[in-house]
Amino acid sequence: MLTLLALAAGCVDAASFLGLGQVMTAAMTGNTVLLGLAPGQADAEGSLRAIVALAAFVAGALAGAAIVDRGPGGVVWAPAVTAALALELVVLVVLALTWHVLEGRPAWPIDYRHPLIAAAGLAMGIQSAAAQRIGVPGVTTTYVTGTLTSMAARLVGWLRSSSAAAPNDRVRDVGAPWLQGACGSPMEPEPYSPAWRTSGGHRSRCHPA
Amino acid sequence: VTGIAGEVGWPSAALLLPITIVAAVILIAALAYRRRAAPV
Repeated sequence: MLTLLALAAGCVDAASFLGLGQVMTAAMTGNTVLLGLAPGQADAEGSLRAIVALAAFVAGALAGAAIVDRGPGGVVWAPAVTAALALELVVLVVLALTWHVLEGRPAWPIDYRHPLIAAAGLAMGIQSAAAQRIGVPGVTTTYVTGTLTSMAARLVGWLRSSSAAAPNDRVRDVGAPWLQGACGSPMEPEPYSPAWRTSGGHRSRCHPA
Repeated sequence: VTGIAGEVGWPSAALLLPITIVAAVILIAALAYRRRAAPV
């Protein structure tokens, strides 16, 4: 499910980068890079677009967090998460319809891309908050750097913890965290915690739920 | 998405794919919740 959401975020990012003036509305790390580059290139419009995307993403994350925090604790996928994603879907549909009406029109007195950027950033912020509420450690849907870093850290941990295991077990253990990250499977308790180690968690929780 | 938004020049149509994906995730989550199964 998280992989599908990451795919959706990639699509929104590609569409906004190509159609809204080279701005990223899901990958805020890349957006901050663009924000840093724009002043150096004397690109005030680029800076403004990046700032609008950042502000909208934060607003979306706040709104999404407000929605998902109302759900019951201890549930992997609470109905509040689905409600947040439904709100994201509404924003995306409004964005697509508005964009469809506006694109190809002659020049407007104001740059219509800014509200579209804001809508896309808002949707991706909501999705990020919902994905965080699901609580798969180190797995996100709107940026990859942190996910890759978490996967690499898990890989090292799995290698160390399975160093005494049989070679076949070790091969299986090395592949498991990567599949786990890709499938977005939950891991309880927290990996590499004392409870997780003593319970043999890396053996019993390597299958997606 | 790059083909539709970049080559064809119709970026709003490219949003149909993420809209479909999010709608599918919502549908799966709702069905899984009705069956009391964790959809992750």
